[in-house]
Amino acid sequence: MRLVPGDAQGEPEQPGGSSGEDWLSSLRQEPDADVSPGQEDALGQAGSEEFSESETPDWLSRIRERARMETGAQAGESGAEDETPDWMSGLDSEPETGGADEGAASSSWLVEMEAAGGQADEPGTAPQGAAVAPSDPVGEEWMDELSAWRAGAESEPAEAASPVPGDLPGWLDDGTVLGEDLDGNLQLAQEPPESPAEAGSEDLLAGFAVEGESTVVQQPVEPDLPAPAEETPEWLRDFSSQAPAENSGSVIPLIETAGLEGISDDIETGVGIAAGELPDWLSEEGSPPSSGQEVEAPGEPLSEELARAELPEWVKEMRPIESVLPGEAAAVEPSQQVEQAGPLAGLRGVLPIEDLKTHYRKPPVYSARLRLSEKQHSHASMLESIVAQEAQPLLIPRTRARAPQVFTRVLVTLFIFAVLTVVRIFPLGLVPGALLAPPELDDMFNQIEQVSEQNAPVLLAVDYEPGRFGEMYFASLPVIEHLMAKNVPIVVLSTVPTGPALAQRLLQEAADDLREKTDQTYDPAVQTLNLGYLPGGTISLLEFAQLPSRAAPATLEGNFDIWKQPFLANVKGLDGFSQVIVLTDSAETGRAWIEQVKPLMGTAPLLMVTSAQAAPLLMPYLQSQQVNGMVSGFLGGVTYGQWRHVDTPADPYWESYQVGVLLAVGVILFGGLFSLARVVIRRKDGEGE
Amino acid sequence: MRSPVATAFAIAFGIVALLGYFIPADLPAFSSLVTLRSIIVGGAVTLAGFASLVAIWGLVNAHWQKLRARRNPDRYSIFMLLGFFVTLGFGLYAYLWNPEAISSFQEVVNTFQVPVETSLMALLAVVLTMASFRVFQRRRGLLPVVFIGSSLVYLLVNSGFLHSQQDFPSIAWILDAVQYLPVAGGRGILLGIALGSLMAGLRILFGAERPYSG
Amino acid sequence: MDIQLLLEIAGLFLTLVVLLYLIFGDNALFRLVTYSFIGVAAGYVAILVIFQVLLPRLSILLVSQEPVLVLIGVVEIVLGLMLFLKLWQHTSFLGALPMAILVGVGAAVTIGGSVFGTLFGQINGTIGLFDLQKGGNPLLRLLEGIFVLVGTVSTLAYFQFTMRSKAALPEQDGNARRSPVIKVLAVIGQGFIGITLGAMFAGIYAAAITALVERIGFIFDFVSRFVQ
Repeated sequence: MRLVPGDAQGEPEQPGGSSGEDWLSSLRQEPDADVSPGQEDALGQAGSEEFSESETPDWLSRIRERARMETGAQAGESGAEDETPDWMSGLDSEPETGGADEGAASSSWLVEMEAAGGQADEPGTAPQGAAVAPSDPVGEEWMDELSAWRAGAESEPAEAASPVPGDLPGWLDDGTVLGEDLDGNLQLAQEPPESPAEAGSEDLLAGFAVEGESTVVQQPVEPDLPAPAEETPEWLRDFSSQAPAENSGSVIPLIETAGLEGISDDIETGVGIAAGELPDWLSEEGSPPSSGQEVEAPGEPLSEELARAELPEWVKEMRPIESVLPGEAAAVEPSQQVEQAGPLAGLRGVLPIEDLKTHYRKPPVYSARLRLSEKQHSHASMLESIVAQEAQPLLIPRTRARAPQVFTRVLVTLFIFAVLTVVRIFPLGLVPGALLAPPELDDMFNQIEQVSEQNAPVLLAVDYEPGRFGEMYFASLPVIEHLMAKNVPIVVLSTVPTGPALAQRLLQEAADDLREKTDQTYDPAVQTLNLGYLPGGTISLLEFAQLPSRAAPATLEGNFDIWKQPFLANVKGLDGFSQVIVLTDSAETGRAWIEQVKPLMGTAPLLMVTSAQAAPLLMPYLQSQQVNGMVSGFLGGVTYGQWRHVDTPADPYWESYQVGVLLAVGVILFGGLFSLARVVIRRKDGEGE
Repeated sequence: MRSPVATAFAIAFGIVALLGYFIPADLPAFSSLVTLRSIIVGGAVTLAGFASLVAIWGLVNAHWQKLRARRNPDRYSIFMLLGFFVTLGFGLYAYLWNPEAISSFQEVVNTFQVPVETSLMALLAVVLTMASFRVFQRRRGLLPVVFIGSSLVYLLVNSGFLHSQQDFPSIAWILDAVQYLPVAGGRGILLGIALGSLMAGLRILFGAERPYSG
Repeated sequence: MDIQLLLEIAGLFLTLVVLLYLIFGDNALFRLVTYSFIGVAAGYVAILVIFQVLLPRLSILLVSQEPVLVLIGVVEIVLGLMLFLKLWQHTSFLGALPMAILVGVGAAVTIGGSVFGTLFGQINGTIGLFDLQKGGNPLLRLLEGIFVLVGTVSTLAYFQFTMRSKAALPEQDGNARRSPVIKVLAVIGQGFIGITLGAMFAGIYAAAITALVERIGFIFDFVSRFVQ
């Protein structure tokens, strides 16, 4: 049995020879006579098998005797490498043996140990690397513990199995026994000397004491599990044969893996060392148990907790996970828990105690890396960019004071009004001369020229809003006057709610203007018919194109039977009208007429008077001959009047209009130049800076 | 599906109305379909009239609620309601009891609507003038430059200044060419609008879009 | 006082109130006028719809001797009244039926008009430009046709917002990828669209100036009449 010292690499500064020297020295010393009363009491109460001076075991006596002979001389040589026992030398020569590599280098005993696969939660864990004969029933339990440890510390097996004897850690120097920093997995124990297994153990330790002098042997021994001597492996027999014969019958304190607490109790109960004869390292631990300590039941071996040892790093790494969990009580077998209070105080294992340790597990480790698809990555990037933009402070545009804006607006308004009013009051003489007429206006004029009083009525659609009354009035009045001049009956309708009222006004003003200019009379009340409003937009246009009498059953004044009147009697459909003239300010409305009505018009032309805004989008229909003539805007109205060689209501407004439009051109140009100048100045300023 | 009955009605009535474009009206075999289509279209026009009344009801109700609101009531809504009920009363009087007053009713409405709307349009002239001054400061790129250049050219054309310069050689040809330029772009825009309308209509007829179910 | 003069004074007052918005900004009078304007327009439309649309249309059906027409009239009334149920949340689902008919028929009419009115018409118009037999200078006509064709196609290319899924992967700058041909066409289309939109803007500007000129003329005429 042996206790593998700490990792040599773990504490390189410590000389190997001195590491195990002190405690051995303390063994060699005479028992301290000044054992405290407490210790004495504790030890005295331990049991019937007390140690006395006379009862000092042979092996201890021999150690002390030899110490006397080697006073001072051997102190520095005790840990020398050349004094390493053979078995340790053998370990040194095979540093990889026993590794968790499960390699071929593992020695047979280690293989056996691994095969045992002991339970980790068994109390009294054996030290790493402890070699126990596979057949030794005494060592099976702690070997199982060892296997469990090994399973948890596969990465450090070589270090565990190949200690450097010269590099013993400090805990050996302090005379303490490895184990307490193992959180209760490693403990010293004393076994009853009657145990047959201990005979072999003693021999082995005797051999250590004599030849090695640098190791502490620790052996978990079950008192009721005797180990037959014949089952001792060969290498242990070698140890035994090397041990002096006089040591064979001595009792040695063994280290038991029975729990952290009560190591001194174990010593007392198992070995019965007299208080005065306790070595220092044991007597230091022999303080009386505090009130909080467990009270051993009568007849049960009391334990005494040893001082905590410094656990080497490699041992820590080899510990099973459970050993690092909090609570040293985890090392105690739950069934052996001693009650501390109440009527069951002092009884062991009467109440089942839940082993809380099993409820705690090392938290699972999750990878911090997310697996993202390309799409998710792009979305994440977009989100990131959006969030980043949000995080950036917004540049608040410099707001100009309201006063200059109002001032500018007022100034511009007054300027425009002043210019237009002055032009209106004091004409500049810009009377429109002979204006060039676009082809579509020429077509319009020719189409209207072709109708006559005898023809079917003309359908006039007044589809513009009151806001466009000015422009549409100037544009359409010459056309309507042209129709009136030919005494053509006019049927009016509208798809705009305000259209019928505007049509009434338009027809009346056109008739009045015609009468003023040509003395020709055209009575709108008789020669025109206002069919009013058609709701539903394009739907009503389709209905009207298919069945006009159904779509517009009454006039604006609410007169029925209109379709039986003379000039509508022959109108059954759209082809009953000689022409359809649409007055519109909207390309959308014009498009609706072209799409819904034109296909059902037969050979009748579709003519349009539009605002200047709608004309660009209606021109393609003109080019495709879906519209047969067009007059657009103020300019179109004036031009149409010129073609008819008549004055138009637009004439007095001509100069104001022309000046206004040219003013707009000038403003845009001036604004452009101003902007250009600003850019140039800014660039120059930038270059200057 | 929301409003399955309504969707079925929309699709069925729409298909019947659409078939009328493809079936010659003078074919006796399809006379029933043509008649059905005209009934459907006529009914839709009547429904459009009812829809106008519903919209007006909603408008009046909204202003009534705004007037009665406890927090920040819109006091000006009283003028809207006043204008509405006065006009409604005048119209009812004219159409129900005095048809001679219908023309006066139209004239009064014109007197109110034309000055207000035309003046609002006139405000646009000043606003556009102020905006035009800054148009170069705000717009960059090909489209804005072409747009502004085109605006200048067509303003000049609309002013009639070029139309009176008959002494200038080839002015008529230039004006014709200039006035023809928007045709190409306008045709593209019209085709785009038509295609968009076609798709929107088909989505409704396929039931993919149901604006009536909301 | 003459009614006509009264109406003119009212018109002048309304004009000045609205135009003075440019000087005084949003003010009580301006709000009063605009709110009243909305009310008058709504009242007028209500009267027009009732007496100009619904009563004539429904009365023709209901007073007819044909039961089918009467039934159609009754159905139209019921459906129309169901539309009012959309005003209340609990009954709005009942209004979905007439609304669905309205939307379905409207969609069909839009489809038919777009196809037969615009798509066929404009495509035929573009093709017709290449009919060199129609008269005029064939070369100029060909150039005209090419110009319109390029403008039309490039404008449509500019509005191409859908593309194949493979090409739809975002580029580094976040813009969807277009084929080089479409890119070139889109740039050309930008020019044509800019020209068209510029012409439309000029038209709006001209219309606004016309309205301003007309209002100034109205004020001038009114004042000059009293001065004289």
